[in-house]
Amino acid sequence: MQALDVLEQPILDLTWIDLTVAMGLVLISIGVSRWHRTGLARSFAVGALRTVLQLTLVGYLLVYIFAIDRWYLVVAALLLMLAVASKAAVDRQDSKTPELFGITGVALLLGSGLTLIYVSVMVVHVDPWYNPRYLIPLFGMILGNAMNAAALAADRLAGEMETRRPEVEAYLALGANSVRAAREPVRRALRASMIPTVNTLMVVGIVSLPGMMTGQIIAGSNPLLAVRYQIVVMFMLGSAVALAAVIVVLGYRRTFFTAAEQLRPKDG
Amino acid sequence: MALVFQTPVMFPGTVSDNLAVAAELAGVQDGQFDQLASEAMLLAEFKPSLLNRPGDELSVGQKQRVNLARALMTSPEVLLLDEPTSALDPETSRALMKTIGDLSEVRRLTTIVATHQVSEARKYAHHAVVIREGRVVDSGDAEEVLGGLSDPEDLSGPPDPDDVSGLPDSDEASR
Repeated sequence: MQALDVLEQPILDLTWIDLTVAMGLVLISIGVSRWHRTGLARSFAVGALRTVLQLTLVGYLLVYIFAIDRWYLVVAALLLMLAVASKAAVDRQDSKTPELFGITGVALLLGSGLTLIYVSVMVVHVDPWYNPRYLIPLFGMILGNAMNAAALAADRLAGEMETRRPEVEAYLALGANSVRAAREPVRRALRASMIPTVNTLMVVGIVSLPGMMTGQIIAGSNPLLAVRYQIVVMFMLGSAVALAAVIVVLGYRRTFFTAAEQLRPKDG
Repeated sequence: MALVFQTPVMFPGTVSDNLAVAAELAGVQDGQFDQLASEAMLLAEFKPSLLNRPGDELSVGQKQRVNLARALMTSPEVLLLDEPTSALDPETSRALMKTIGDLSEVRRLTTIVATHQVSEARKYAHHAVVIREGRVVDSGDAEEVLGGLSDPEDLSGPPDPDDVSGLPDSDEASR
């Protein structure tokens, strides 16, 4: 197979000097920002620096976790990722209550956790079960998407409950329970949080080549295998997003009502 | 008990959809919906020809009548109206109050109306409760209680130099 000979080539090494050259690209974005006074030049510089620091740190951490190869270290890493993602999702909300942090944490744990178990056990057959080379990148992708969906869902639900307040009150006045009264806000919040994922499923491979697939191809994988992995990834993102969004929305909905099914005052 | 708010609230969809929501929540059987809806529309004096109009295309007065009909769909024993005419112009307001007044005659429905309009209360109420600054200051037969009051300054209580809102407290009239 002449065509697959290219896969036999070793990966081209990237040295620190190469990375310094890559920094030139950051100068372009900073240049554009300064030129039109977007006020983002500084953020671009700080962001670039954080990218270097954070990713380098993660790289060393992964080398360490791979070398030690213990299940509890892998689980600890996954839980740390979960906590950071929950905090990041709640930080984007107007109301950053401990309660919302708890709801988001549970949603991400169940949404991402169940999806990860399904994929690693039943699809990829990861061996041993905690193999960090698979679990950590897979969980990272799942969690990133679930986090965005949870944040979008919570934000949209709060917004809908605010703008549709009279409507929700009118349902309650007619004898509806909180589930019925908040049906439309819940529906809209779920839609808003899942549409980006649906759109990605529609255009993947046509408009964009996903990062994991391109990474595998550069690393020397057979593109056909890389594509199969990517298909699994797309499916698992759908499930993680749907689960995380629905758990956040249903958990968060409860907080807008009292135990007697009354709509809480705006400031309470 | 059914409630009609100060500002009418329409659910998405047509007038008929709005009535259907109330019917669903009140557990009305599918077969009874048409009869109950036309009865509620009749009581609220709302034109049946508007049944398939989208709710947000109606005037405020029409919306308030839909809200009234929607409340009646639940076959309440008590109807509570919170300043039902305050969002309406005087003419529409008078017409709606007449409809509400007729309700208790036709349907023998206990109706409680919160209003700032003493003249309105005097015209329709049997029993009146005057509330000033959050306290009941008088109650009893509407004619006796409301006889000495006029619109609406008499309900504003002692003048307060810091209060520039000029809003009187509400009085309640029930029938």
